[in-house]
Amino acid sequence: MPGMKKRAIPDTAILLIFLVALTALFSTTGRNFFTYANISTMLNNMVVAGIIAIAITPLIITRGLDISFGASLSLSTVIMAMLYDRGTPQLTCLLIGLLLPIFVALFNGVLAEYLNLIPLILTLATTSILIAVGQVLTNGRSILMITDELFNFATKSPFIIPYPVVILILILLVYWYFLSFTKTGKQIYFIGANPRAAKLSGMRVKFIKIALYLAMGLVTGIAAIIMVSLSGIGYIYHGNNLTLPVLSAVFLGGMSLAGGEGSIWKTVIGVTIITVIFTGLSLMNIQFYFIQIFQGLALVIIVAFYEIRKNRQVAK
Amino acid sequence: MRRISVFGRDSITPSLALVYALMVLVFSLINPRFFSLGNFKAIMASLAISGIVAIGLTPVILTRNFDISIGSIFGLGMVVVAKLFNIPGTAIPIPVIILAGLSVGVVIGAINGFLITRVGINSIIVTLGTLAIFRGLTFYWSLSNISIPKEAFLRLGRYFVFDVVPLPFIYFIVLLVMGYFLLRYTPTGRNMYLVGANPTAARLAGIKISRSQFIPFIISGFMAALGGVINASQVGFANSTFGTGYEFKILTIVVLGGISLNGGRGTLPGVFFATLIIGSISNGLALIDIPINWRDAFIGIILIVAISVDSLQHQMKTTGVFKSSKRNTILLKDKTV
Amino acid sequence: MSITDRTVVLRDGKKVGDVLTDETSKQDLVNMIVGKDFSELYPKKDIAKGNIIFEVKNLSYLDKLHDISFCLRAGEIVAFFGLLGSGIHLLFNVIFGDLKKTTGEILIDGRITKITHPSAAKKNNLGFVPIDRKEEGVALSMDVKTNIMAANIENIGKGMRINKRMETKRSEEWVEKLSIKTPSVDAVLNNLSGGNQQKVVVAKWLERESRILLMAEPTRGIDVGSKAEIYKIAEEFCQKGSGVLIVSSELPEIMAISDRILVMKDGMIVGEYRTEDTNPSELMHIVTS
Repeated sequence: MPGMKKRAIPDTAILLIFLVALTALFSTTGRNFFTYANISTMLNNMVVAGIIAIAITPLIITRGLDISFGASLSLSTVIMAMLYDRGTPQLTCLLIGLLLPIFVALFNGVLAEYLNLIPLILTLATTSILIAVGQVLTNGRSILMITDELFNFATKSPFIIPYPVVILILILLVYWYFLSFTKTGKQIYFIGANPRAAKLSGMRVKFIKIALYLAMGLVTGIAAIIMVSLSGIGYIYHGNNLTLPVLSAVFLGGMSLAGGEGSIWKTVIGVTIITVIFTGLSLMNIQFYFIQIFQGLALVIIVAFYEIRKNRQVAK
Repeated sequence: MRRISVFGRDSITPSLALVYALMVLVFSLINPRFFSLGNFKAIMASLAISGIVAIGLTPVILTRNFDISIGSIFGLGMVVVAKLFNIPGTAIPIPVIILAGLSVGVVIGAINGFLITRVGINSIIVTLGTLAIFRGLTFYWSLSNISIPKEAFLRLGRYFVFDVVPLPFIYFIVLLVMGYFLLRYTPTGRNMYLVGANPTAARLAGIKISRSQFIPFIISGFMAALGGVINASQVGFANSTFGTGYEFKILTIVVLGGISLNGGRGTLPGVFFATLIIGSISNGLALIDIPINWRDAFIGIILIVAISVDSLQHQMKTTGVFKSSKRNTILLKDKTV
Repeated sequence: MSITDRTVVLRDGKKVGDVLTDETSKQDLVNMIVGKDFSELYPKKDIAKGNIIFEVKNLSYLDKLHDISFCLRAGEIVAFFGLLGSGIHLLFNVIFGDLKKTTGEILIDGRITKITHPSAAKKNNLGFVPIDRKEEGVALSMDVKTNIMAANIENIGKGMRINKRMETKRSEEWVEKLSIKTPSVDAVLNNLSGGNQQKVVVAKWLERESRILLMAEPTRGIDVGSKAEIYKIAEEFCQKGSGVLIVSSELPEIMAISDRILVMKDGMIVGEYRTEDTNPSELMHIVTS
C-alpha cells in the first residue's frame, strides 16, 4: 500500500539474526558458553546495564538524554556503603541509595526542560560533579557493604533465575506495556516526533519528560542496590564500565537521537548483544581493552548498517 | 563581501577577559604565590595544550556536531609517539615520529567525518564508538608507562622562549591566529558559520553541507593528536590513561568561550580567554588549598552556567523572549541533537 | 488568468483539461480542479448568532500586543486582519496558552478562565490550528490516526490503556466526514498533501469537540478543493453553536466567510467592522495608513 512504512526485513529481525550468529560464534570457541553458570553470570551482568537501558529508552524517544547514570549509580553505592559502614540501618541506607539518583534526575530534568539545555552536555557536567563528590568522599577506594539480605538477594532465589533477573524482567514488562499500550506511551512517541505540535495539541510535554527523567532515576537507584548486592562494594568507578555498554546497547537497538522512534524490545536485544560480546570474549580470556574495541566496532558497524539501509529505502 | 553579523556584535570576549582578571586577582589575594612568574610559566605551558585541542573542537561545534573522541585521539597520539621512540635498534627522525602522531589524528578525524557526513550517522554515536575503539587500542599498546628518552623531543614541549614564554604557548597563539583567519576571512570558515546557523538556508544557497561538516573533524582530530604529542613532550612518557575524560574539559572551554551549542555563533578570542580561565583552575585551586578532586566539580558547574547563558541568549535571539521550544523544531535529518 | 495562454489542469494524477485561458472562465477552471460543480467556493452565511461564548479583555503581551479586547458569539466567524508586525500571528499563541500573556483576562461563557498552557486551553474546549502545520500542527512521521487523536488521547479507552479499535474507528469516521484523501488511517502523515494534512489538524480538534476554534491562516498553501472543504467544515462547526476565530492575510477569504473583521496594527485593534459594512480597499487603507 502506498504511503505505509515499508521494510523488506524489519530491523528487529536483523538484530536477532546478528545476535544468534554472535552466540553461535562464541559457542564454537569453547564449551563453556552454554553452561548454567555462564548464562547465569551473563544474565547478572546484563541486569544493571539492562534496566538502565530500558529506562533510558522512552527518555531518548522524547529527545531527552541522561548520561549521568553511571556516576549517579556509583555515587549512590558509595553513599550507601559509607552510611552502612557508620552503622546506619541497612534499610535506611538502601532507601537513601534509591533516592539519590532520583534527586540527580530531578536536577537534570528540570534544568534541561526549563532552561532548555542540551541534555547531553548538561548531564556530562552533572557526571563530573557527581564523580568529583565521590572522589572527595572516598579517594577512589572501595567500601565494603555485604549484608545477609543483599547476599541472599544476589544468590538465593527460589526461582530458576536469580532475583536481579526477576527485577529485570519486571521492569522490562512494565516499560514495554507502558510504551506500547498506554495513552502516555502514545504521547511519548508523539512528543519525540514533534514536541512543538505535541504542546500545541495540549500535551504536557515538560511534565512528561521530567517524569521520564525521574523514572530513570528510580531505576538507576534500583540498579545501584543490585550493583551493591552483586559486587559487595560501594565504588565511585562502578559506572566506568556501564556508560559505554548502555549507550551502545541503546543505539545498537536502532534508537535515533532525533527522537520519535524506538522500542523496548530492540533495546533489550541491543543489551543482549553487548552482554554476549562481553561474556563471550571474557570466556575466551580476551583482555578488557579488546572487548572495548569490539563493542565500539559493533556499535559503529551496526549503526552504519542501519543508516545505509535507511538511505537506500529513501532513495527507492 | 558582506560582513557576517555573527562576529563581534554580541561578543562575550571582553566579559571573559574580565572574569579571568578577577580570577587571577582572587587567587593571588588568597595565595600570592599564584601571581609569580614561575607559576604563570607552568600554567601557560600546560593550558596551551588544552587551548590547542579546544581550537580543534571549535569548528565541530560551530557546524552543529560533537566530537567526544578527542580524548582518545589525544591519548593514542601520545602512545604512538612514545612507542615510536622506543623501537629497539632503529632511530627514527623526530619529525617523522611527530608526523606519525599527527596523522593518527587526521586518520581518525577522517573516519569520524566520513561516517558522519557520508553515511549520515549522528556525530555523538560515531564519536562514542571511535572513543571506545581507539581507547581500547591505546590500552593494547601501552599497558604500562612508556618513557620517552629523546632529549631533543622533550625540549619541544618544555622550552621557554626568552626563558619566559613556553614554546607550546607560542604554538597555541599561532594556531589561534591561523584559526581566526580561517574562520573569519576564508569562504571555508564562513560557510561553517552559515551551515551551523541555518543548514537549510546554507544548502539552498549552494553550500556543500557535508564538506563544511567534514573538515572540522579533520581539524579536531589533528589538534587533539597535536595536543597529545606536545603533552608527551612535556611529561616525558605516555600511558593508557592520558586523555580519559578530556573531552569534558575541552567542551567546557569551547562553550565558555562563547561557541554556541546551537551552531553558527562564537569566535576564537573567546576560546582563548576561556582556556586561560579553565586552564588556571586546577593550579589556582591547589594553591588555595582546595583538594584537587573538586576541580572537575567546578568545571562541571562552570559548564552548566555556560550552557544556561548560551541557551538564554539563543532564545532571546530567535524568539525575542525567554521562551523555550524553538530548539525543539526538527533539524537537518537527525545529524544533530 | 492574465498571463498565460493555455492552462493544463491536473487532478488526482490525471490530466482533466487543456484549455485556452481566454476561452475559459475562472469558475470553469475551479470546477475542473475540484471535479464537481463548485459554484460556491465560499459557504452561505446565514447562521443565527447566539450568546457570547468567548471574550478577551485587555489582553497584552510584552510590547507586541496592547490592550486587545473582543468577543465571539456562538455561530460567529470573526476574522483578524493585519500586516506583518501587527501582532496577529502572535495573538492566537497567547490566547491558547502557548505564550504567557502579560495582562488581560479570558472569559469563556462569561467565566474568567486561566489559560497558562495549551492543556488548559484544550480543557476549556479551545482548539488551535497553527500557521505552520508541518512544524506545529502535525507529527509528520506518525500516522493519520495518531495525529487525529492527538488532542483526545485521554478519551480513547478506559484507564491507562489505549483502545486501538476505537482509535482506528474514530479516525476513520473523521477521514470519511472531512473527505481526507489517504490510503488508510495507518498511512504516514508525510505522504498526504498539504490540504489533507490541514484537514487532519482540524479533525484533531473536532474529535476533541472544541467549541472555539482558533485558525491561523487556515488555507495557506492549500489547493482550491481543500480550501472549499475547510470553509464548509468551519460553517458546519458554527451551525452547531460553536465559534471560529481566524487570522488570515487573504482578503477575499475574510470578506467571504467572516461575520466580523477586526483590523490590527502595531499590536492593537484599530478597527472593528461587520463584514457586510466594509470592503477590501477600506481595510487595506486602514492597515497601511
